[in-house]
Amino acid sequence: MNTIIGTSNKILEIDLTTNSYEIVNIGEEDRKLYLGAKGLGLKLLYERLSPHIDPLSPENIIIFMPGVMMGTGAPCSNRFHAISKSPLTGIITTSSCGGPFGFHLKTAGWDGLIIKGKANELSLIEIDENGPRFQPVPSLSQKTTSLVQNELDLKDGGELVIGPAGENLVPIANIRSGDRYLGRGGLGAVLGSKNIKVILARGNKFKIIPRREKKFKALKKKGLKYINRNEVTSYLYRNFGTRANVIPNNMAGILPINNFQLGRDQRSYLVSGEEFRDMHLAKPHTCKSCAILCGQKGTFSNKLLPIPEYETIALLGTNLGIFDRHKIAKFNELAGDLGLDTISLGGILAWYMEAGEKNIINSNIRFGSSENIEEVILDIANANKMGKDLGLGVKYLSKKYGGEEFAIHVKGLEVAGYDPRGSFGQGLNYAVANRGGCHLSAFLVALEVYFNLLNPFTHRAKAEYVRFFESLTATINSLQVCQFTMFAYVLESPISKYTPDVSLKMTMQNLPKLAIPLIDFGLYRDLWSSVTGIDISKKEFLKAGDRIHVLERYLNCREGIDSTQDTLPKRFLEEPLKSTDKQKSIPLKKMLKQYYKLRGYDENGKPREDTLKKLNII
Amino acid sequence: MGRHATIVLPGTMVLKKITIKTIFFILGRALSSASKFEPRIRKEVASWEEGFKIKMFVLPSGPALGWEKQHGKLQYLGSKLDHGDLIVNFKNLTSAFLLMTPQVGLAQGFAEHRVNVVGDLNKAISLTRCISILLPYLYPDFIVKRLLKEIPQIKYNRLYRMLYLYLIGIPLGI
Amino acid sequence: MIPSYYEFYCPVKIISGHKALDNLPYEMEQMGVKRPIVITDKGIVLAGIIDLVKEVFKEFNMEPPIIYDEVPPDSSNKVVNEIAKIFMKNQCDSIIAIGGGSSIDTAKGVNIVVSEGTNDLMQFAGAEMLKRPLKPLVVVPTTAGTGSEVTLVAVIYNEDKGIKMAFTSYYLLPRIAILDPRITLSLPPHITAATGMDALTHAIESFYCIQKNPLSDGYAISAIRLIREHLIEAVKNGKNKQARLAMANAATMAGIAFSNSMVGMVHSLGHAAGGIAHVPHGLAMSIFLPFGMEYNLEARRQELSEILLYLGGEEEYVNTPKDKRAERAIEIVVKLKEELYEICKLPRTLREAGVEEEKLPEIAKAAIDDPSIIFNPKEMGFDDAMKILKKAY
Repeated sequence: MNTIIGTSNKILEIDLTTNSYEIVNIGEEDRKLYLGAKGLGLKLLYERLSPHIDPLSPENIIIFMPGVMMGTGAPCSNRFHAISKSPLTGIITTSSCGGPFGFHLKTAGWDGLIIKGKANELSLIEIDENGPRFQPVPSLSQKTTSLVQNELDLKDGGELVIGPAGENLVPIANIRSGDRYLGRGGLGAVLGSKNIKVILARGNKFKIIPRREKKFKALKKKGLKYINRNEVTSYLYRNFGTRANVIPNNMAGILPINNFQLGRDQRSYLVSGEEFRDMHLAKPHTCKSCAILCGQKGTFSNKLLPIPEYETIALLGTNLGIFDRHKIAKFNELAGDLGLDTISLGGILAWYMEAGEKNIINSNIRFGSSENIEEVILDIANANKMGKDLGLGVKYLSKKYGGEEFAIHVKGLEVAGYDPRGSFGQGLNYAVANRGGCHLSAFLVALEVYFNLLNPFTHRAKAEYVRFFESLTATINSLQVCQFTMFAYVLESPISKYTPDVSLKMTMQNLPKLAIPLIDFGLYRDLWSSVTGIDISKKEFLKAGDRIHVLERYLNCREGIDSTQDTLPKRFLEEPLKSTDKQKSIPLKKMLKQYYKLRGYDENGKPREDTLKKLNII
Repeated sequence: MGRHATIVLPGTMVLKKITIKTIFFILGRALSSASKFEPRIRKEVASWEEGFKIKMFVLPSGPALGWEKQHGKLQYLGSKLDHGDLIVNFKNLTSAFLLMTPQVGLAQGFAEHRVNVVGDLNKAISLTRCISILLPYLYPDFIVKRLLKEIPQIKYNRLYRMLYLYLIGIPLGI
Repeated sequence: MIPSYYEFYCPVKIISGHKALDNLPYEMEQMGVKRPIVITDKGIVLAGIIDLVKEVFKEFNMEPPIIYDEVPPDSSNKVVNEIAKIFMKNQCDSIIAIGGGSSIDTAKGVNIVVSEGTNDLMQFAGAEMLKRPLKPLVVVPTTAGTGSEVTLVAVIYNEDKGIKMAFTSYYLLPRIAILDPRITLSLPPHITAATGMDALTHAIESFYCIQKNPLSDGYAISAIRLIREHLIEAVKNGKNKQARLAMANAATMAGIAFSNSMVGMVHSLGHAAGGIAHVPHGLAMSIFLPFGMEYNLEARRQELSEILLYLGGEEEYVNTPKDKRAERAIEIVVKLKEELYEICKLPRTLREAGVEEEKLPEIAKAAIDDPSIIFNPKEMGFDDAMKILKKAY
């Protein structure tokens, strides 16, 4: 087998309109500035995408980027990114996925894939080390993702598939790879608009060898050691997956119930990770090269199904008032087959239920009942009847029908499963996250609720942490490894591990300027350097994270984003959270102001010119 | 096996009462605090209904210890509780003393008829599990060994959590 | 080894022997009661046992007792309340339970309701909730297994909540237990086998659980010996009165043993399998017994080794090396299960008992919450229970 030392630096750029392709080379400077995966993908998009184009037109571009860690066997490294302009939000969306496609693309010798234009008819692209082949596949039209997967020869191959929803250009359509998804922002519809049903990468042609192999091996060992001694990664997520969040979220009163009207429900215990594991004979069902093992399959009425993730349980379960594990697993399977993002789908259904309850609209579904839900999901995927409007998202719906006060979205993206009224930092995260109501941008809920290191009910220090973790997360997504490694790599590094909780908490809360520089993310930097062979200081590394984050913001500002959209749904700002004893409202304005300052944005929330120059963006 | 206090001195009863009260306080706050950070206790508590009240009581007239599940969390209520959905009665001061000091484990306490339980016995088993999980955070292994059938293996942060309990959880009640 | 502390209580008068039932009216008179209600089920009526009772009452010139013969196999609080109404209406003053576990537990429940003058049975659920003596209760067990005639427990299904609830109180103990081989003669082989295994489980579990004591040990040992000598014969040849009487005695002794030393995980799993998948109690005991012994092997090697003497006989015991005795005892139980399967198709596994595999997690969950688990020598968590259930499937 041939080998690639470090990175191939070759990107395959396909123009569907002309059925042609070229090979783009990545220089060392760009590599160092943008690291890989998400960062590099954004840079490539920035160079190619004109502002204000219709996301579903041939002018839109979609980029798939496995990172530098892919194929090296580093812990939790089998992840890749997709970057495009979102038909749901009209701004940039980026999504990460652990399916098999990324590995095969990378081991076919490609560091990335750019797709432009539009195919004449529904097609399949097959990619190997020699380049792409195009094949019309009219017979796959409107087939579900799992049916298509069954028809493909996936031996030595990894696929991207869209379902009927993607073909029908539903803006909440996702892309499936294995049993994992590029979920948010409607990437499935982008692929659908280009008439691409399947992209099949045939890899295993190249072996990926880190440039500094010995160093890399030592780092890998260290990473595994950290993962295996951290409670979240080696006990909670390993046993219960992300579903381990259900019980603590319910305790903290931030579990969405009935479209975020409540934050706690006694029945949530029934849909906890603990119950899913115990009652459904859970077996690991993870991404390749995973050391955490959060993905699981389980038996539901004698059928082996993926056990839903936390977000799916929260949005398609508790947020609809549904606490039936079988039903949630079924909705999850259905959404996966049709190619719909479960978070947005859940947000939409919840809005539809509440709108019906408030007589704003005629709705045939209601909180607490699973009746008609499957029909509505099918209608959304087929853009049929009311489903056509529903599929356009909560923002569109509330503009058209009213009910903005309970439209739970930020910048058009439905909010994930953590109520920010019990976690103010998470509130700032939602308000400023580049792709909209995304929980993963900084994930402060971990510090505020799970580790009890920051007071969730204060604005103090939140801007600092959001900014820091946004940037760190951007680097992690550019390596790319699983974001959950952060629990282990950051918390198990000596300084956080051996500082007693009390003083750690006091320092973190009161002296963020002292605490943040002490947060040790060196392992990520070292891993990246050992594979690429490029030396980079920690400061430069984190600056790359800043650069990636700000570039995305800059692209969004080109599309019209400014501080007026850096806000939260009215419900979060005006209604107190009924389920906690703390009834403060989120001091968003204060946090935003500090955040803009830290980020180098002007008062309208736009990156200042000097900031962009300092970060070498312009 | 438990060693029995056989010498009865004047004031012994008062001393015992004070000891039991102190340990009730420690146990009460420790369990409440641990139910926030220890995932296995958290899971047990999550399965109890909101407003569920637990009372430990030394017959015939106290001391008492109470918890209530409020806002999804197990709150320590001191000796304020007059009613319990689950009541663990110690049959006499000596029994309570043996169990609390702790010379006798809970299972052995049940076996020796030192306690009687009023209420849903399944919940009593759940509570017993909580306490079994908690004990290694309160006592070193050589004590825990005598109290439990087996020492639960704690892989994560035992020492820190012990310190946290004794320095913050118990004194501050958080 | 003698425990540092234990309690033992069994005030039940046991009347054992051929035609022992004929003593019933005399005993009633001795207790000063006149109007008993007989609580039983249709099977007992069909077996002619009720006629027998009426006969002995007639011979003693006593009024025929009130008969309630519609106890279902899984009795509930509704049935209890119904019978209590009949009791009140007829101004009865005592209870005679004739039947298996269900009839006896129902009778205990009725006794609580009528003695406490309540209409909410469930408020007395739990341990030691009764504060005064109840009406005289006479039990005539027909299955030679449950030992309910000498236990202080009643398990009654709460239809409103959909769960089984346990009542324990010393006042629930019957006054008199009558062991008459005539009563059990008609018991079909597979039920004889299952209830016999139930008794064996009581005896063995009480011998190794943490509340064991010298008195309970004595009863347990004798019970195990009797079962070894008579179970197969009673199953094979139901008309053998000697074997029937021996099994009835074994069941009662095992009942006394476990009532005072409690039982462990075999019962936890059995209760759970009964509650979730409706596996009859005796059958569940038979299925789980060897697995429970195996699970507790290291924690209780000494006791399990000793059991071999009674379970396998002297020769077996002497010929087995010391460090293999516990394992051998388990083998003998497994062999017994096989033998019973040969004779009367008594299911050996949960699968043979018709349990769906999907129910296993629910059973495991219920088992680890069952109160009996606390008396098991070794901790059993959910994953442990699942492992055992999978083995037993």
